Amino acid sequence: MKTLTRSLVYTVAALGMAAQISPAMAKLDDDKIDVTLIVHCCLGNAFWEPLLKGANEAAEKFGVTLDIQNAEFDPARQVNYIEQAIANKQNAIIPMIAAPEAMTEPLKKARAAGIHVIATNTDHPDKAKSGAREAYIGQDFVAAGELIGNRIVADGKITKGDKCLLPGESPEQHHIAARGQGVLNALRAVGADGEILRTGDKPEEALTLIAQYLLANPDTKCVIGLGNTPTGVIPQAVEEAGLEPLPNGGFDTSPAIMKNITDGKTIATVDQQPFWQGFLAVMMASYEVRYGLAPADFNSSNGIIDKSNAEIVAKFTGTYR
Amino acid sequence: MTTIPKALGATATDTQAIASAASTRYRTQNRRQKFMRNASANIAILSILILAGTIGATIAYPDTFNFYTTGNLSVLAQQIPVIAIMAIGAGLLMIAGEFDLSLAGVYTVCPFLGALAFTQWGWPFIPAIALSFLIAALIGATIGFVVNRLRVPSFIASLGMMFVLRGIVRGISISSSTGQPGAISLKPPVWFEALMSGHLFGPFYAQTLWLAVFAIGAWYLLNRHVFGNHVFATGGDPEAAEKNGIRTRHTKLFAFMICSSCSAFAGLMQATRINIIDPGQTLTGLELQAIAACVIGGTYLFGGRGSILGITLGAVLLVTVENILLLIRAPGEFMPVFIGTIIIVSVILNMNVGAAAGRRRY
Repeated sequence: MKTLTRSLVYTVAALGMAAQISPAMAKLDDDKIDVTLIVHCCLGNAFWEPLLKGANEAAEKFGVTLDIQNAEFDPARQVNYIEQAIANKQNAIIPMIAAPEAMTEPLKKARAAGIHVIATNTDHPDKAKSGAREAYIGQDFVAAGELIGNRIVADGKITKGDKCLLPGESPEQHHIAARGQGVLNALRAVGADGEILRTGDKPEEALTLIAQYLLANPDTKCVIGLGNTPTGVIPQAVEEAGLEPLPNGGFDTSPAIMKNITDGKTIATVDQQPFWQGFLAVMMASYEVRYGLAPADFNSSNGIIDKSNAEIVAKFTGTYR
Repeated sequence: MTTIPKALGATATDTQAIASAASTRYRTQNRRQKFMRNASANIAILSILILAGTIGATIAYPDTFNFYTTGNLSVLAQQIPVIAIMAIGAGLLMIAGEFDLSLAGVYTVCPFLGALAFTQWGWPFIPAIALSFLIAALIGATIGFVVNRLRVPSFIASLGMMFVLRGIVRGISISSSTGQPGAISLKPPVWFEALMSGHLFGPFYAQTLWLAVFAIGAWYLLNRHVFGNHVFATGGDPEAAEKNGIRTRHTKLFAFMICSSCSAFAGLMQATRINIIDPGQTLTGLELQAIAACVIGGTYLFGGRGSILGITLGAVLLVTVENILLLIRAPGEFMPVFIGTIIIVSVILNMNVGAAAGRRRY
């Protein structure tokens, strides 16, 4: 009986402590806006750091209680978080619409319940027409793909018949597929072509897979990463495959990518400025809830980052860049 | 049952004496002690505590703690059955003394194949769905064969199967238009959508009713059918079971097939709700959640002990705790920490409470 009592007391105490961790439960400030930000995958990845910094900075500046949830690639989990946010009567939801087939109806339901929806990072393929979101803060993926594709074609002197490798974390995700399409458009415009390779979101896995591909395909003429994980490991993978340095580039920034650019090992990257994706989404949500100011689409991509403008980016990589 | 080996000079009389003593000890225990010997005792107590906590929080914070709102209960009614049905299959297998780590793969591949057959191969709907279950049974049978005949530990055999299924689903999900793996939409007939994820008999979600069907069916199978006796005996003491004429290999084979079929059903139910099956769902770790639900519910890791009530309550607890943490806006980055803590606390409770009531430890 003593053991039972002691065990039960410990359990209740543990649950009580867990409840105290979030001050929002006990002392919710009536002036604060409640916003749920749903990250569609891999929260530990360096790419999210500027986005989360931006979101948290905006939350602090504009009186927002920000609830950040990680869906880990699972569309069911994204749907659950949306429905939970509706049940919890959040003021706004900031989703990344990586699984539009699953998320459209729940997001429409959220909007019908009076919850504002501002998509960030990954848009619905049908954009505003879908009715799933009011605004989108993020990159135009196809245009960004064409931008980096054209740059690598020009600098790498890619011509007709050349074949390039396009490694991406998860090609089944809309943003990777759209970037890939943009890059392929640029390659095919000069008569070259590309092959998309799935690398996963872990750098060590991406490094191994890219190196193995290059060992099996030594006639590859260029490598263009479709996400920050493969982009960061391309020069090392080429070296490990025993090939001469290949023209390469990709997307996003990370300490590894910026080092490669400043060292001259990578030509360029397209930065989607995730800080803005977090900051502006939370800011717009706050102003819409309080003052009725309608949010607007914002293309967070600012063009190419190469050796000429890499210094300031490298200085703030992992924080604001 | 503990027996003294004959090598130590034991006789049939000694063994009978032990059995008689155990029976006497059981008969002299009061009702509380008998209850505490049950595999689901601790989870039942924990569930009551959680329930009391939610009621207290709702009274204390009526405007901010939204647990008992229609919206939140709807979310729970749709989330819990998926994990619970997978856990029932996994738990039955664990009672038989084996593991299956390929559940997330089955959960994804089987509905994916069914959706492919229906949407792209031109199959009629019911045969396409039957294909999903046929594949699930085949996967279970394959793992069972590898475990029984090739003597590979089930942990390893099912782990290998998990990787195989991940590769298969990526391969079959390659889109003809993009050349890349992609998700598939499942657009079933309206009657099937209602049957699997709609409202039935008034306000009840179909998923909750299916959970009741699976739980009652599994309880009957384990506690009222001779197969259940075989499952407990196979998991508890396979050698003794064989000597008593139980075909443990057959028992395990059927347990693997039932486990896979439960996961396929859960996957189909979820796919009907969210209208999509994504190859990335093989990476969700659902198999570990299902096993965690079993362990929380008092299922013995080494086989021979468990209850359907405990498994079901374990799944309810797992999903409910995550739900409560979301409601109180606990930091999302630490969610796995809280879930892991609950799992460990539940197992410790199970160990200590069980030992206090005279059950053997883990």
